[in-house]
Amino acid sequence: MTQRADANPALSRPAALLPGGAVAGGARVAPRSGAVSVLRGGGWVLMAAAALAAPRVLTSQYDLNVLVTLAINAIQATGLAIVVRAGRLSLAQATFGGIGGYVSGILVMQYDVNYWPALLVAGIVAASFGILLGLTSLKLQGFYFAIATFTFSQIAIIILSAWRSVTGGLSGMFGLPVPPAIGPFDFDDPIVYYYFAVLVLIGAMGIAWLCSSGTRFGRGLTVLGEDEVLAGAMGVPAIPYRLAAFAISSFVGGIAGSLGTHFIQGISPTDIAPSVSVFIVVMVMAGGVQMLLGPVIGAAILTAVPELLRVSAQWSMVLYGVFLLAYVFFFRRGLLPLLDSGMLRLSPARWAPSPGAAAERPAFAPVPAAPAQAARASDVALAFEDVACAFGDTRVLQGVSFQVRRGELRGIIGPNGAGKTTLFNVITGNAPLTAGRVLLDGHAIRPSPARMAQRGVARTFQHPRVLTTRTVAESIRLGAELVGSRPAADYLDWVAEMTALRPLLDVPGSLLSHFERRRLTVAMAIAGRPRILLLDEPLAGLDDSETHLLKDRVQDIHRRLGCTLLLIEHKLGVVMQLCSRLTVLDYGHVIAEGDPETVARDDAVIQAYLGS
Amino acid sequence: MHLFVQQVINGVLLGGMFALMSIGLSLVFGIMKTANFAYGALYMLGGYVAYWSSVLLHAPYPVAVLAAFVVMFGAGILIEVAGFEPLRGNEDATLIFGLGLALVLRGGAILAWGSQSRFIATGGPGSVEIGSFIFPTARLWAGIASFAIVGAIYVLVSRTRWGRVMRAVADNARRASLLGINARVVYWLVFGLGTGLSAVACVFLIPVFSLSPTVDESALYIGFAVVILGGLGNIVGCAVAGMILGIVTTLAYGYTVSTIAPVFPLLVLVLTLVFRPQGLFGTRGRLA
Repeated sequence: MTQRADANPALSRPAALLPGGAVAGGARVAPRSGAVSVLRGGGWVLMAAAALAAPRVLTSQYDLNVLVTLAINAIQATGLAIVVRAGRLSLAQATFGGIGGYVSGILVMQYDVNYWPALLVAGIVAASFGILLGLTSLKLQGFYFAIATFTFSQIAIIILSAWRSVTGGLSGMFGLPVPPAIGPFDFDDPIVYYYFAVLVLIGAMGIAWLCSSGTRFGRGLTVLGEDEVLAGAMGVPAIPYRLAAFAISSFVGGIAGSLGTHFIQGISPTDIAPSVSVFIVVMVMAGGVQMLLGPVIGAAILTAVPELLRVSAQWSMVLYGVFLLAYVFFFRRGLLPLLDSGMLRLSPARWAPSPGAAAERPAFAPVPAAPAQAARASDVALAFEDVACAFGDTRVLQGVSFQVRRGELRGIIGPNGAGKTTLFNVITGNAPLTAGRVLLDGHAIRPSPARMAQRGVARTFQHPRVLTTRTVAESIRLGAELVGSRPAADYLDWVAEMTALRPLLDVPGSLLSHFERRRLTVAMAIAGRPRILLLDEPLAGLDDSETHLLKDRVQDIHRRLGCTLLLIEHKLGVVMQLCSRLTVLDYGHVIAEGDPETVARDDAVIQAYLGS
Repeated sequence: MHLFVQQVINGVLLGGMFALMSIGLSLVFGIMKTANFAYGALYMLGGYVAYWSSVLLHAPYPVAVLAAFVVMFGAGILIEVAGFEPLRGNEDATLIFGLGLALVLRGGAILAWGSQSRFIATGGPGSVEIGSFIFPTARLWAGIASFAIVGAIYVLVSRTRWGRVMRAVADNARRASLLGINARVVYWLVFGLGTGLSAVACVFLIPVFSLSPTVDESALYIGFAVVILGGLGNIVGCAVAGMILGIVTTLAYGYTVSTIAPVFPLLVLVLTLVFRPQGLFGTRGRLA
């Protein structure tokens, strides 16, 4: 291998291999639009036209009923997708719908409330139950969360069946009135009901857009759904974000449930059984949870197909099951992404010639630390006072005390199992601080991942964690945005340049090599211009030339950003060159501290590394 | 006081049944870390295998039980090989596969056999009197049989070489492979055993809970409740949790209205999930 290709394998990657064949060299981190979005736009227009024209084509009473059901299911699925995107699979969406239906039904029938305010109350009550369930169960993961929602659903059914005086018990409520007319629009007419449901669906999709790609909150949620630990390091607090997502999702569920209940003019506990919730899960998954239209398409297909086949409830249950099995084995990203990648393949953009791969130097580069900052260089940026960390009886860190001055590049070294990574985890709240204090700028902190990230403490992980579904450019932008920083586009270009990622901006994280991932983690960490940067073995697993390149870049980044940098590294030669001071850990204790030469001669250090 | 004692004894018997109902789920969940959401449906299917072999083939009761075990053991291996094995490590996909399979089996069962409740005829008197306490025979036998089976599984897992192999795989499948254990085959057998046991459980409990395609849902949530309360893959935990839930259930039926009574065991599950998700006997692991 030639030295050049070795030093930067990224540059030697043929541009034609880049997915979508989009612009490679000289690319900017700032978002662009492409030819694919035109095709996607076409898809949207087609969908909208179909939704508007449907009741003109399908005119029988039966068809119209199916259409209304379809639209309501689509609202329900769109609502559920909000929480699924945040990484929690709920089996209680139909229950939230049922709560909405019961609330508006009871208000209208027993308290003579007008339907429209009752509809709003239905959504709010459902959201409150969502928050209640979320508070008790969102800390659970995977199966356990699903089981918690399943149990919630069972409890709701039992209570609704038992509370006969209010809910009508097992037979439920019937004879509910349709919503009152608005002006000339009479809701006895299923066409009016349909268009109204479509309107609500558009609103729900708007909410779903705000909760995914539309806002910083939404983008944080989707990152949370991908990798909770990484999201924490990027400044996204898991519990509050998920709680909000769950509340919003159950609000939408409650509204949809109420609309459905008043359309069929009745509700009973069987309407909210877990299996009904599973049907909604099927719709979300089948259509493609990550896309805004996915749940809608899923709901459309799974509502229409059983009706088209005129099958019984049992057959449609089997059909839904088969669909789920097929989904798991054949199209795990959903039908819509399948279609989307099909369009991508046909799109002319794929064959568009790439502009030259040579990236010009970015116009912008942060200046080396200003004199004003240098003057404060004696300040302590980070201090540990008698810090301890224990997991049960296993004490990983004990009595760790040292200080890191502002702007310093401190190396943390020690044999395997010394507690170096745990030290980082304690700073960022990923591991418990069982005793002692961590001081940031002289103030004691209660570390939690997201809070630390937002206070300007960025970190990388020993095993490079990247967002597999995002492109390099998206990841870098998210890295900046989610910690709440709004850097200039030039700064992000500089970040990409420093980490030699400019030729890879359009490559998704899943396709990156180990070295590329390493660089991306560094890029994401510095994208938010951190004050303190914690790099956990950035050079692990790299060959000599890769090490050489990244080492220089780390030094450059440190100098230009003027940040305080803590570096865990096993490659001692590199540490000796880069760091002005070293802290040596062994068995959870600090055994030496000082400039590299002193540390290298320290007897305790030699003994720790070589044994006695 | 008499009512209380009677309800507690009933609760212990019911608890044994709950433990039996969930032992298959617990084995699979504990050893393979696979939450099988089709468990309830497979349980139900096992019941039907025994029912039809008893009704159509006039198999005697023990033969019907054995047939259910063997058929579902095979079915379990098949499902593991075709479904869960390729999805291992992906929790969402595992969960959805289970839900999908459950829908197919339940819908299929209703289509094939209708949704009416069925019983396997067992002779004998309707109830036994011991002292001043009355026990329906069906419940008494089901309870006793449950404890016997759960005890046998406990001995199998904790006292035999086979059990040691299973525990090694549960602890760390990859390391067990390095010791010459074929973890894949252990997984097949454990899944087969779990599914077979669920079938046996269903057959034994038909006289008490009857058999219909909708028993799957209650089996599934009782199974998960017991497994979570007892702690993952802990058989003693399974028995104790079963008894706690059994006693809570019978006391709830004894002292509250029957419509609201089913809420109480579920509340126990909720409290467990909130305050001690690792369960009574579990260690805080990967779930917290």
